Amino acid sequence: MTALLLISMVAFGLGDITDALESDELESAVTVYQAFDDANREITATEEYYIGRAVAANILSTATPMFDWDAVSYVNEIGAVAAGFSPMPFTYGGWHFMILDDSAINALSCPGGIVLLNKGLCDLAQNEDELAAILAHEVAHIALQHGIQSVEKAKLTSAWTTLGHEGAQHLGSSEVQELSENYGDVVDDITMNLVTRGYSRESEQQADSLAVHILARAGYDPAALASILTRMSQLTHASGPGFWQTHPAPLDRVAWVNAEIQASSLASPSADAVAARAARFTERYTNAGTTQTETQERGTGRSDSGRISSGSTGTGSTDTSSGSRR
Amino acid sequence: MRGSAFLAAVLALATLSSFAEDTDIEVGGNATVMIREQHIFPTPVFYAQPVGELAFGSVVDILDQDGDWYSVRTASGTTGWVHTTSLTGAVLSEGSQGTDDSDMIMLAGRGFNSDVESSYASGKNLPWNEVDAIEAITVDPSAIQTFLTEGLLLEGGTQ
Repeated sequence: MTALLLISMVAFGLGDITDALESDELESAVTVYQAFDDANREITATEEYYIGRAVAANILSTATPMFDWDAVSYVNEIGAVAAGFSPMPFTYGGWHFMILDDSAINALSCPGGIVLLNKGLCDLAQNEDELAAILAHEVAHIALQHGIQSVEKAKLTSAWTTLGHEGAQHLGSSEVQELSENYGDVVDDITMNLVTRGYSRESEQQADSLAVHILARAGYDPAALASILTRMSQLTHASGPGFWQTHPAPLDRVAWVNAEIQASSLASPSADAVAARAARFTERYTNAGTTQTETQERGTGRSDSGRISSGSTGTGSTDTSSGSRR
Repeated sequence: MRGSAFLAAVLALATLSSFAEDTDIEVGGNATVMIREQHIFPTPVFYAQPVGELAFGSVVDILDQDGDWYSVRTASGTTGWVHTTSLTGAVLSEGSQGTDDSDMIMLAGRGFNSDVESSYASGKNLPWNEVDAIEAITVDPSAIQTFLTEGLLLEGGTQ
């Protein structure tokens, strides 16, 4: 690469610079440039995917996904719509949505497209448009790469420096080990930001703003985000760790959501459309919720806690007429 | 003088490298798919019934552009539409694998990848099978279209 770049410099009339330096100094200049370039490159779509997988794995180590519940298919259809109308309709590994068996009000968006929603938050929605509003907010965090942006820059720089110009498959075992430690640092940073620290107030406002535009483009009611945030503000147990610690006050968010809807003149859907989706929500979410226990009792390779048994994948019954497992 | 020449060399290298790393997608040129499994759509919308599939790393001809969508022709002659977020103007060739552009790094399989994940995973008891199972849940584009229609979506949308 050094020779190629130096030939290019001469070809571009920069021979005076190369003439003024000894060959070892030129080599050094190339090394400095390469180190600078390595340390400042953007994260790739595949790296975002692998980081997101590890973030999800860490979160799932203390959570129970509800694989067999029909509502998961419904949530994935709404999520696919929200993602499709976002600026990032496709990611390297695709968009995937899972409900966690947790009554706490919270949702976690892993880089690359995995969204983990607590059942407690989903249950707060009273219609499909409100559930779509929750999903659109989480999709917006991923589309805007808030997770990746929340990583301490030095941790990424350290990884790129370890990598240099080689792929992991060309590195020695000690270098791969060092790189996996860098990877672990990045994963830990994002997981901590998601679970404990939260995104910045600015990031939350950006995600809310994008969410109302996603909702409007799809034909959902953009005001549904304000209505579910208002309901959150009325909860008597609105304190403690998780969502309440990591998000701005719901009523502050309602104010900026309404301001965005007004500023962008985003229209509400027809009453017929809202009614059609409300009926679908009752059938596919509210009523599906009553069958959750039966589904778990059927058992499909799970322990009593509802968690998939170790080593068994694809054992759930997520297939429906509209959603399917690959 | 030597210090100035050294700095000038570094800056010149950065400038030259930026010329070499132009990954914009242009009509009439080529692009590479950077999504693991990418549908090709008959119209520039994500919920149309796909006319074909493209794997990561497939190189396509760019025929036309409509907003964020590109009309493409595959190596087998299939034509259809792919979203800009699924494509990069970078095309991997012999000698380009060592460049520093992020898209080239990705196409060459460098950076954080399955090898790094495996190294990270060893010795940790994390539920990777659950992550795999979540990734296995997909929604077919035709199902999305039905879902949109039945929910009277798009009707009041600003699309």
